[in-house]
Amino acid sequence: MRDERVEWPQVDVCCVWIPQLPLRVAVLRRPDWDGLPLVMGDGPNGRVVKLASPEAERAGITPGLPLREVLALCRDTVIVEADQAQVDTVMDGLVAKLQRVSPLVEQQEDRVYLGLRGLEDLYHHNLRELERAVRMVVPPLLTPRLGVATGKFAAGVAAATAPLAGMAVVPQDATAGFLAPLPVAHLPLPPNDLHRLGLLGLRTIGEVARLPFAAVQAQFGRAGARAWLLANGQQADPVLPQRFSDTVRVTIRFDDPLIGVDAFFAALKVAVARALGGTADGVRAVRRVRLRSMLASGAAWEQVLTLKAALTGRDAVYRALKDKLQVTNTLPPAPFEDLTLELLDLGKETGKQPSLFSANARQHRQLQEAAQQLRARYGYVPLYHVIEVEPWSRIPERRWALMPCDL
Amino acid sequence: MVAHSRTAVGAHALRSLGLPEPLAVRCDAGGAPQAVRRTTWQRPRRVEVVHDSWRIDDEWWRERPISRCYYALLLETGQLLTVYLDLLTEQWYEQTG
Repeated sequence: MRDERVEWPQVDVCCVWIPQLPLRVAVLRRPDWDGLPLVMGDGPNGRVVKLASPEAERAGITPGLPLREVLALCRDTVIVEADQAQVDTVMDGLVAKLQRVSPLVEQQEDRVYLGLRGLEDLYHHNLRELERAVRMVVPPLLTPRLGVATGKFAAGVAAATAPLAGMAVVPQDATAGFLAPLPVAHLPLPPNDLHRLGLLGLRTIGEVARLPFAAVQAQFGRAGARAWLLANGQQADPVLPQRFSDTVRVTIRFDDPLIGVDAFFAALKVAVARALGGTADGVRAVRRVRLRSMLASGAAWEQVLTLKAALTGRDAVYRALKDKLQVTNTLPPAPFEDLTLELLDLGKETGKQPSLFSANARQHRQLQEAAQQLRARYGYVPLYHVIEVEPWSRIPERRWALMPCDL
Repeated sequence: MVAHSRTAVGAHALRSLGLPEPLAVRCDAGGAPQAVRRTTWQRPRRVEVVHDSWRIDDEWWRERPISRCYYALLLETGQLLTVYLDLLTEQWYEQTG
């Protein structure tokens, strides 16, 4: 990476864009695929190419091409299975790490926006230091592109035009000039509106920007008005930081993939114990749990389970999860290599006060059942109450007595 | 009408807790316990220390008054035991409770 200083102009957003995110996530899992022609179909039983890596496009494979023709064009092509759970896992981890670069983080699909307001001193007014901080937390195999500008739109477009290992910087006063020659496809308009722009002979953002605001608004409504303001660099488009709730995540990795229901529940029990034992301020109430596993087949398995009530205590949480998974029969469909348990929606309470009377009633029922069993076996009920007779007596055997239970 | 099948609860149904159990005790010349033996033990156990002793005289107005001399003992096995000598019958008992 270049070490020269890059001055910090009037900018407030940095966009980290990961082009072809699903393919790059697959490469992250299989680094040996980096540089190979990769394609991804449109769904589990897809018939056409949805995504093609630059290497595949050089071989003539483009989105929309039938999958059966892919190998005919390039024998080395790897067909990657779409795995949204895996993509989500990677992006969740990425967002969590980027929060160390900037406290204001917003994720939109394959783009992560970082708010830069107030961070100039932290990075010594040097954008190169910011870039270094971002690249330290984003794996290079994801091939991130960085754009820095004023507003999310301009930063996103800057990232899209940035070189592979570089960063595009667009100061505020240069935004309109930077956007002007770029194609209208960058504007956040529905496909129909983009098509109409083409029919009207408007090819670049600059051509849209030069139109009267009222005319664009009349033709394209609210979306058109917003696009015109963005094209002129006039739309305030700040980062809207996501609210990140307190979560606890535990991952257990296995030397060999585990198979079987018993093995899964044993792993789940350990994970629950570790997760609830590791919360900062003791065991807290848990309302939602996310379970993830990487399967030996390469696919990911994920379940988000919402508990009927916030539970405290390892046994209670484990039992609830076990019941839910057994009832819905949603265990991993193949041997699993790891198990990640994430406690979501953590409550503040660290204990639960059960109802005094309902607990007594339940206990009484259990005693009655036990008494019936004993009567059936011994002919009488050998259960007694201990009652005080003369607790003040100096004679020990006068103080307490056993009285048969009347159950 | 169906009869009430449950046993009536009354004082007759009470069983005292901590009833004394008879015990064999060997004493020294002063009358203090030297060794004790429960009925279930194969051999007597030596008394290591007499921690405490006290006397209770009670219910002298009844037909069977109570007069006991208690000893709190530490046995050679490390076990703590409370025994008493019934001064009316000259019998030794182990007291629990």
